[in-house]
Amino acid sequence: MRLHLHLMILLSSVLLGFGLFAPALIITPGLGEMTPLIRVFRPDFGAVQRVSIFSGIGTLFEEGHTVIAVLILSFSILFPLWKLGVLWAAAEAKRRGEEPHELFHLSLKLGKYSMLDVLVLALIVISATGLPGSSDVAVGWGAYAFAASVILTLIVKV
Amino acid sequence: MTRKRWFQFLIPAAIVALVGVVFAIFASPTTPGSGAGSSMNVTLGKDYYVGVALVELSEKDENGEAWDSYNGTGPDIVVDIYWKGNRIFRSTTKEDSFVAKWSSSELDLKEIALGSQSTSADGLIQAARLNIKEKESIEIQVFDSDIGGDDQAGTKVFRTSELPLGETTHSYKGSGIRRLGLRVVEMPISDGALE
Repeated sequence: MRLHLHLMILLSSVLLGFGLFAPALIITPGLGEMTPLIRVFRPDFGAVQRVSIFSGIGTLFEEGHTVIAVLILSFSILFPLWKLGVLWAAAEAKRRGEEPHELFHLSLKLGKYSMLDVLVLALIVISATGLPGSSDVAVGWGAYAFAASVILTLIVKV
Repeated sequence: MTRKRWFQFLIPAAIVALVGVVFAIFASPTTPGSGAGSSMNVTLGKDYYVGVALVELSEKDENGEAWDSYNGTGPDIVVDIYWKGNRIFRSTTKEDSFVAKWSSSELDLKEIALGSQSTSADGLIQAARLNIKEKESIEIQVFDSDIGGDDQAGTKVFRTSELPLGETTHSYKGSGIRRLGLRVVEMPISDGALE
């Protein structure tokens, strides 16, 4: 069981890494039948864009959306990392037969906020697919890895 | 917590950082059809616009003489595209320049305003139209346009099935053509008429 806990936290960390750096959204811009014509004037139009959570945060900072960038950075990167660290420390404490650090209990209370980033991702997909035209937005495997990491972390907590 | 325990606290963060480093090293973003290094080619059987976006000529012509040597001005660059032995496109002439650029479309607003006929968006596009088949080539001939006749600046041949999508720039050494920018875009099945 102890080994399982450590393995699950390690796996969750690897999945979080993939979730942050692998493409979470695959966007293919389009304007219906006019798309090829637009490409005559703008050859780069329609190029498939692969956006990871990490690169997306970088873009938000570059474009001056600092508040949103800091929010997503906090709930998508910093908080999950901190939570995994706390879980690892708690697993170590359990292995030694000690009580987990009080940060562990705090992480349990704050756990619900870790789903905020999934909500943001869902909102982006819904808003992008709801736009007129033939733009196509697909969820990349990075998003699945991220979701798997969140779920696995929840299981570790239980 | 002791220092060792703090170190353990950072293990998950280290793993995530390691995955990030692996991605930074091995994952290279690809954007098809963008600039000099387009990695996507045309598809057999489809129709494409093939245009010349850019031509740069050397300082001297192939004989080592100045372009337009009789009046000392720069070359007047014009481009022809040949397919199946026929000229299928001739560009406008860019006068007195070593570097000529063409946009995808050239609007003659006066003609549109005064003309009684409608024109289609396709009609505005300055490019050759090709259907891609195997073992066929196009020939791009660049001239210095003169009153007394065009002087050939150089010819480049491209296999149609290997044409790169988007805008790509091909560089050459020696006299004549130094750079040749191609613009290859898939043709839409239909396009709207501009009344």
